[in-house]
Amino acid sequence: MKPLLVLGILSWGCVILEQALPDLLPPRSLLLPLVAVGMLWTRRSAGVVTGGTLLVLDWVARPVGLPLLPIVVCFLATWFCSVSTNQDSWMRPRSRLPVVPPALQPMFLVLVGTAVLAIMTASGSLSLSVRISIDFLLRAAPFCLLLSGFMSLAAETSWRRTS
Amino acid sequence: MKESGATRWLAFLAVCGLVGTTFLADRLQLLDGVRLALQDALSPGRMVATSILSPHQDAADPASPGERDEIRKLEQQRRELLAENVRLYNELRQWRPTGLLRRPTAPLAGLQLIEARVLCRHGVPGSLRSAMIEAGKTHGLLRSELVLDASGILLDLGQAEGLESGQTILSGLAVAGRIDRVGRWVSHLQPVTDPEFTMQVQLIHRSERGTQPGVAGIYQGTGTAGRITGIPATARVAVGDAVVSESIGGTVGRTAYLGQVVLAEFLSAGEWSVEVAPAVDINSIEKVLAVVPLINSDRIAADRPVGEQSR
Repeated sequence: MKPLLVLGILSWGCVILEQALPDLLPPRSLLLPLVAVGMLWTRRSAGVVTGGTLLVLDWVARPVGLPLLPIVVCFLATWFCSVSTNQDSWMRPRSRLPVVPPALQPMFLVLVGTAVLAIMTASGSLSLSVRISIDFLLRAAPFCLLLSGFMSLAAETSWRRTS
Repeated sequence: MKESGATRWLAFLAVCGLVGTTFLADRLQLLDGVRLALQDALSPGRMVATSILSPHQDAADPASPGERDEIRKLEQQRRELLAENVRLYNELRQWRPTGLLRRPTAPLAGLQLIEARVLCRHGVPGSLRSAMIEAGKTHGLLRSELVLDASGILLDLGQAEGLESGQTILSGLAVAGRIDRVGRWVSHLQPVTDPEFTMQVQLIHRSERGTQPGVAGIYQGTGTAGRITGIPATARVAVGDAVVSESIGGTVGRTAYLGQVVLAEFLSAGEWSVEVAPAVDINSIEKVLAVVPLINSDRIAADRPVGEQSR
């Protein structure tokens, strides 16, 4: 419960920062990495629901096109949580799909989320989509890597429980 | 406690349900209150963050040496102009009692016509709506969404150009409607045919002797045309009479053409029932004129003390 509460408060702070510095931080450039890490922090259904709800609330406050971002991000997060990365994975049959390492899973969520946002914002213009994506990732990627590193460190020091 | 994969996928389905419900509520325009509440919840923090971060932004973008010299020169020029302004005002004050400067008083209030384009007639296209909301957000503005959600005739002018609710909109010299909602950059036009549109009007008789002013009544839209009520049965009404507004922008003495009487019948209540065909075809207009009240700044400036003028 505590991590989810912290996730809600930090999301509020991220949205405030994005709105206070609109020239420096594109919308959702901080929120998306934070929600991605928050969903994968405990790898439980409560994290997915909380992250999805935060993205839906963000869409209500700042609507852009269709609300596809919560669905896509939640789907990927649920998939990553369902694919076993625990020590008992040897008991299960090996999946043919490529497995994304846990440390890179938030970054993968951010990349896909960026693509979804760029497609909806640019309305079909490829060059504009690429420009928006680059602009977005220049802020979101370092923040996501920082949070991913923090998440890995928390797991190593047993501060984060993943089951 | 270990969680099964099915539980996680159920959670995902719950999020999908939430997204679907939210999207449906947004289409039905039920989220306006929630949206405002969310923005209000963000506002205190945003204002604090803006006040803390703004000085750093200024420091991060210093002016070049050439620009600094230019700013210094402009500042010096401004001071000189202020001093000159005070000197001229003092001279004017000395001359005024002699009566040499006395002249007819200019009117205090007037009307200004601002041209506006019709942005769209049946709701804003999704891409334009998103683009405008995004553009508004970069300036920290979001209130235009209230108007963007409207599904009527949208004009491309808003509060930034001085538009306010209730202002009359003309097409040529005829009344096209009234502003009923205003956003930052756009505003919503309530056409003369709208059932909620009402206006004080006057009939103008046309005869071989010329035109004569007739009785006044209340005009109301009927959806496709208009109707005038409140005309007593003793008044003279004829098909073909012109209908004009009694005032524009609340200023007496200025009128605009509204339409023509096409049907006049007696009602049992002792009143006329007058049908009016509006002169403006709302579906074909592309440009309109917004009537904005204007205050004569010269008259106000003439009465202002020196300290306030030089400010």
